Amino acid sequence: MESEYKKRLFYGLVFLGLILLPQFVGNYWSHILGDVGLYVMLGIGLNVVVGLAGLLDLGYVAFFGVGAYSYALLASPHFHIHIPFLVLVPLCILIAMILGALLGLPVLRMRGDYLAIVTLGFGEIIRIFLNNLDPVTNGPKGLLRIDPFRIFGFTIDEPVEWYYTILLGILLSTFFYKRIMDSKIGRAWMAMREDQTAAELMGIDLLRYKLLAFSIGASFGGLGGAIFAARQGSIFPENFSLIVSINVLCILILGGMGSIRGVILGAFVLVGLPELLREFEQFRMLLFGLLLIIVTIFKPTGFFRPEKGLKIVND
Amino acid sequence: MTDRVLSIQGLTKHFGGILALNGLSFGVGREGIYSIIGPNGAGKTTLFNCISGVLRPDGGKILFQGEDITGLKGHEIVELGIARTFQNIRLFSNMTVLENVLVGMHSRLRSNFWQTISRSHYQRLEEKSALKRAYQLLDYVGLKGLEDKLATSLPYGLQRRLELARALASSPKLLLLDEPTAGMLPSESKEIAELLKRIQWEFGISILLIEHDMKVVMDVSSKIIVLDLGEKIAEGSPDEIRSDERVIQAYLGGKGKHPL
Amino acid sequence: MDLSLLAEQIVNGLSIGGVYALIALGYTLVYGILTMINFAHGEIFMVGSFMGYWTLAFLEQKGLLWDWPQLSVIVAMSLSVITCGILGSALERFAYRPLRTAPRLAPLISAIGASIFLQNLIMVMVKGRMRVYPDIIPLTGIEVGGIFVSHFQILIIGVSLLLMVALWIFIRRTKVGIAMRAVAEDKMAASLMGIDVNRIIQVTFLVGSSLAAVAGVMVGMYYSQINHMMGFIPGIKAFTAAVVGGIGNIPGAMLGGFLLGILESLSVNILPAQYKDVVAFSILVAVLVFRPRGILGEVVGERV
Repeated sequence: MESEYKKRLFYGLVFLGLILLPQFVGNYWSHILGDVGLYVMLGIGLNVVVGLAGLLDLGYVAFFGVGAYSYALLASPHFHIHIPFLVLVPLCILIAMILGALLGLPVLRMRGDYLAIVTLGFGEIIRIFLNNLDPVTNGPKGLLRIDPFRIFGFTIDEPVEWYYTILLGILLSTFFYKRIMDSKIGRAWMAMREDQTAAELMGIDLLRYKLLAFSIGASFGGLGGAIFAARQGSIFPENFSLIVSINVLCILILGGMGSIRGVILGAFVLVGLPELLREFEQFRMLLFGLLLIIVTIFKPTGFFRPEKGLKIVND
Repeated sequence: MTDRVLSIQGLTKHFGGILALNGLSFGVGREGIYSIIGPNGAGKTTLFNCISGVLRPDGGKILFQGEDITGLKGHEIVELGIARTFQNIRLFSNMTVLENVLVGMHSRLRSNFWQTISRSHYQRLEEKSALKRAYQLLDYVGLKGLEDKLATSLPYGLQRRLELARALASSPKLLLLDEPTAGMLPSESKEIAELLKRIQWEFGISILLIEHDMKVVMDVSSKIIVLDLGEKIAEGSPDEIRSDERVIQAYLGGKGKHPL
Repeated sequence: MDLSLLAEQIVNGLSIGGVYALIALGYTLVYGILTMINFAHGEIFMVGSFMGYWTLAFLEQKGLLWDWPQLSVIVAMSLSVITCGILGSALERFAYRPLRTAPRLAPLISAIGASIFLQNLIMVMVKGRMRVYPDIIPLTGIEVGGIFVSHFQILIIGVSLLLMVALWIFIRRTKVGIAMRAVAEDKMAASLMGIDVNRIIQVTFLVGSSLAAVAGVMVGMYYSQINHMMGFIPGIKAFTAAVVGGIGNIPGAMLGGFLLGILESLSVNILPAQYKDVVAFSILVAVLVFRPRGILGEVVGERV
């Protein structure tokens, strides 16, 4: 009981720290922290697909991209449509979910490593379309002057304001994530990850639960994408290349798959550290490649490790 | 024929050129323990795989409570009331003992996605009662106090018991057990035999059992079905099987000791 | 439609298909023996291309290239083959072997790491800029039935076919090749028969990577511009080719490579050229959904 109390206190303090943080670090770092937060959101989403359901999805960026473009197309001068964000953001999430289910349908019967390559292909296909469907997406020139979030006459445009928006997004994501986690759905996903055949013979409809994992995972990507588009104000197909998928996967692997705490730590390391070591920028990905091999080899079961309850107070 | 819970009719399955099941027919009555014995390669596990929907038979029919379930998917068959265990234990390794049983209950939980997201009253009640039942089942098979251990951290014998609890969790009417005493000491096998009899009686279900340990088979079976090369060569009470010429032939080529 | 245009497209398809086939062989060999997708294979092809470029550039600087063009190309190819052979075996030794008993997806993730590493290693070395191969391929060619086929295209197709036949003979006739098949069939049994399984797996990587190196140099000479990202797309396409033909199957990889090359180059008649890559991906998905064993492959079942 006492340790439970201590844990709560600890995470309460961490949370308080996260709230106060931007007051100390200023605009530039608030923006960077916003990046970290977006990656956390994507990490939580991909964790549903990879960490819980055990489906290695290498095309996760597709959902991020679709979320972002859905927002940008429906809230910018491009088509002269300006849907308010409170309506539009849920719509973006829905679109991403539908896309997740559509992409999932043909590919989910495949075995793990095939699935990985095919989803990677899908991610690229989406990017190719964004790049070439000029009449709709404006091609490589991207979409500009995207509406920021406006609520009751207040416009969210300062990095610090975005930081809080993203923090709120993460809290919401965590809340829903946890609810799904601690239910028969979460258990079914984990069972599937451990042993598909045995899971099927426990009465789990594999296809249905894989589809669900894909679309729930996609919903977080869609949310992240919408926030990203609104915050950046302009987006380009190149924002949605394979490297985003790889980065999010790296976050899960570095942080240890399964826990939200791991996702947060992973995101800080992946996005935050290179910012601190700007002069080593060009070696950054080189080191990450190496790190990926090393972590995989020395913690080979690290990313399929047990998850008990998966609370934000995990361990 | 409605006194039969399961009826196998002319079941055939081949792998490439090998005929694993060759026009096999038999029935399993309501309540009782039915054992399937036969030498290695007789097609016993293939039979289980066909019944539970892992494999699609090439010919013949499987009727469960009078309903044709041939070629249904595994999860649909569980839903109808057939659960099974595996010859080589297949627990969900990185999940706790309790979670394994809760997964076994999957087909009986009705809350949908939205009820889960909103934590509806119904969903919370259902989770609560599922949890209670899981604890009861674990107690029943003798795993009390181990609920929060990782499944694979249990010793071998207890893992077999957990597989039993997990299968029971789906409230089956027919339980398929693939060598539940494999690799156990004689004393442990004896305990499992007692447990099986209790389960059969107290849950009022039918058990179809694949077993190599003849002591267990003789002890628990109400009927024995002998397979060889995918065909049924004998069927009867333990006493009848004991004195069956063809069983002796199949097992030892006519020379040496009868297996029972 | 113009028939000679169609024929020309088929010849183009065959030459690029030969390249896909050579890379696909590497995927198929490794998959056949380890049931693992060597995600970094496309990067080996890319390194091979750069190694060829560096050799040729060095020879050009020394003034030897234009005096001995054929010999220079042979030297470039040999050096590239050696480098990639070593690189491939090293990759196996350090990135994959420690994971042989790990969960299925672990080696794939390690391979992604290796792929990122190699891409960025080259990027750092060339400062992210592209390189241009010296212009040594002759523009000569022959006319067959009204269409022009360049000597270099014939060379690519010829070399690909030759290497595939050589590989086929190697696998079927030599002691090492037979050992490779044994290891692919059953590692345990093979090691009990006295086969050094680790060495055989290493040889498999060496052979596969060497073929990718040859493909890399030929692509460099054919398209002349190369960069550190060039391995990705051909890698995926070669993987597609291997899957189309039936992964683990050598003639299948060859067939798949040529088929994919032709389909892709014909696709420009229906779709804008920017969507060429989409065609390959769509074929990959379609094959995996409707005929996962590919054209020549066998089904692999799971034991319960």
